[in-house]
Amino acid sequence: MREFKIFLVLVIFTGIVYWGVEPYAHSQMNEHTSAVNFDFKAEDINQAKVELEKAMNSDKTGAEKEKDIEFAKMQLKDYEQLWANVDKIASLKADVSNGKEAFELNCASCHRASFDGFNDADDSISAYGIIYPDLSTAGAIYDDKFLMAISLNPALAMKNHKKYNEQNPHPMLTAFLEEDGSISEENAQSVADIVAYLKSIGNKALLSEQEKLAKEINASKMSDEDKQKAIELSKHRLVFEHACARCHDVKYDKLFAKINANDLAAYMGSIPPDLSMVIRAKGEEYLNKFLNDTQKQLAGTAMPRVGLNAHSQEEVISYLSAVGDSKKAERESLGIKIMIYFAVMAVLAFLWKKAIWKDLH
Amino acid sequence: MAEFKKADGIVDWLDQRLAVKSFMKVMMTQYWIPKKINFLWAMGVILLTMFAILFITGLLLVMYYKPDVALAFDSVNKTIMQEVEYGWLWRHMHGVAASVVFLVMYIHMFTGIYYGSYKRGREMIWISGMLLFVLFSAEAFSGYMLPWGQMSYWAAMVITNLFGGIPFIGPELVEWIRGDYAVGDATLNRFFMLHVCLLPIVVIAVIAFHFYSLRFPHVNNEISEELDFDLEAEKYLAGQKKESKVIAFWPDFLCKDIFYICLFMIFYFYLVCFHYDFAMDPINFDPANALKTPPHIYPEWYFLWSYEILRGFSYEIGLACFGIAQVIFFVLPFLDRSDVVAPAHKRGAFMVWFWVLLLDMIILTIYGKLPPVGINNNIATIASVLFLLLLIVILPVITIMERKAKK
Repeated sequence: MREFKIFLVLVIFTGIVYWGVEPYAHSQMNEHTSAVNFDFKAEDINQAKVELEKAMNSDKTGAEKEKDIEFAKMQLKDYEQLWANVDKIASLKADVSNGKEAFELNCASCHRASFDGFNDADDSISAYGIIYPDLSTAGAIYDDKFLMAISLNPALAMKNHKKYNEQNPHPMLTAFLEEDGSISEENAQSVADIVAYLKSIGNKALLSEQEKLAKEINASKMSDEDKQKAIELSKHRLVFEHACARCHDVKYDKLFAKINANDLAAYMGSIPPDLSMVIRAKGEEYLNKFLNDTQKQLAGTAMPRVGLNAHSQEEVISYLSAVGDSKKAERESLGIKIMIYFAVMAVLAFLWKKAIWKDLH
Repeated sequence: MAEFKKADGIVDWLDQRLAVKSFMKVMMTQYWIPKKINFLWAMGVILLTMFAILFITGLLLVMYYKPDVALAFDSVNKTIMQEVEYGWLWRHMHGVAASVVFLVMYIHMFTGIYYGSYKRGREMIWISGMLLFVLFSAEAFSGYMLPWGQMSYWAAMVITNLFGGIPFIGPELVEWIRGDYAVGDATLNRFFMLHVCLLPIVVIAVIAFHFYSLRFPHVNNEISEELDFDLEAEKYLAGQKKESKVIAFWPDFLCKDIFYICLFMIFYFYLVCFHYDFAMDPINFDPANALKTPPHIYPEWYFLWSYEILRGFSYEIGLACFGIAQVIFFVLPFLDRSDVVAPAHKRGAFMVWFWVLLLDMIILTIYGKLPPVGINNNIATIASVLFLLLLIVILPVITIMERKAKK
């Protein structure tokens, strides 16, 4: 009984120390942010309100504070207008074949959609040497409404608008909006059609690439079980390649950024990090929030919000887990076995102790 | 030369040459331990087990680790964690044991303080134990640098910088420790040498000395009773095991300890496989980057209380207090001026002192990790002053009073 009391004291004090240096300390060091939300309209307006509140409650004074508040108010207004326009577009009945024409007219001079034969994009017009993304799979990977938003105002949709202004415009130029930020019926219809077109080819493009990879894997000399795993991983990897690998390396998986590092550094301000171990460095929860709304989780980051839909975000995180924490399954199954082993040993040791101490008490 | 007879078995053969029977008696079957002890007395053997784990897993890790700033991070996180069979297990075991060993050391220390096991002939046990604590700290710090992640690099920067505050020789000393003007390849290499070669050798030697220092004063017991070990041993050997106040180290004491070790191992492997972040900080999975300071730099949890004493004052004073905090426990047997050897709950004011010290160190630990802003700084200063007062002033005063009251 006495030993049990001592043990209890030990557990309580150890528990207090643990609570203090782990959950409590981290709650104090990291800003609390709202949960992941794939309703980007609600997410953006909510976050703009949070930033406005922050600007109003900041320790700054005078003109500087005024400027921050002014900016935050503008930002909120901009987001409200942007998403109102998107709502308008989303309510329209879209036409895929018109969308293809509109894509050719509005997008194909910079963007490829190689799956459907659009290969005439001119990369050399980029000011930074940045390769514009091939949009073959965009309709499958990105959120529909995000695609509408990015067509209207790329900087605002990707949340790197603080970096750009009239003198230094965002490299993606669009002209769907009127001067006052509203959108005409005609342009709204075009955007709706383009997104419908991208959606119509997106899944097909992704599927055809998946099948190609699966075919290669099936032709290799692996066991059936390994083949299954490799095919599963190749699906995760494919989404990552399309969504992230223009800028990020994953050198542990021999995956290297498509854009030259110097060009990236010039465009982003620094070289985007290698993501091989990012799952252990940041953890799943952080990455989920970060991908969902980059500025919310890391204010001022150069990383744009790329607008992944819920499913492809899951795929990206599965890929990062598979690369950075490849032994997770082994760790967890072995962990249970070792614990059971020692539990059995403890019982045997206790019986042995009892036998020996029979003479001593 | 002694006379050698034809041996009647392998044990006898060895006994004639190595005196194994007498050796076993001295070290095991007739090494006497008090009977009245509780599970806190198992911490020593648990520590030895943890050290064995650290040593063996460490050897396995050295087989693949590369002490080079360009290779270190990947050799740990790619080669060891992902390519080598069970490399992740050895690394997780090593990293978690390095953290948990400090928890057990603190329990071991506070057990010693509570039961007065550093007094009246047991001073050398305490001092050699403290020496082990400092050596383990050096092992922990040098080992933490090896994965060459963000925390490895920045902790190395901050800690080596501390030596710059030493009067006159500071800046030169920092350069000498780093082997360069800044923390870099030379630093990593020399800390690798310290971690895998020099320090382990010294640790093993001091562990042997720590055990040796136990032999004459013997292990303390739960009621701090002074035993006549010869008399009690005679009773035990005469078969009066129930009446005797001692037990043999083997098998009586160790069979109990092995039971405790098994229980402890369940907890330890739970941490290794399911709950390792507290010991393997996620930030250290970001490669070292001299151009990118992490938003928060903090040491591992077991250094937080002394780190907080460092932060509790202005730079020079903080550094001096930090220095004092590092060594003050060495002289604990001489700060306690009372000759009463008894558990704290029988010592009145000392009991209060014990719990206040423990709580103060916990407060220092918790606030040591929080960002140094606002009220946190005041709490740091108050808790640090209290820590120094408790050891340097209050302990001598209450123990002198205790001695006088006894007369």
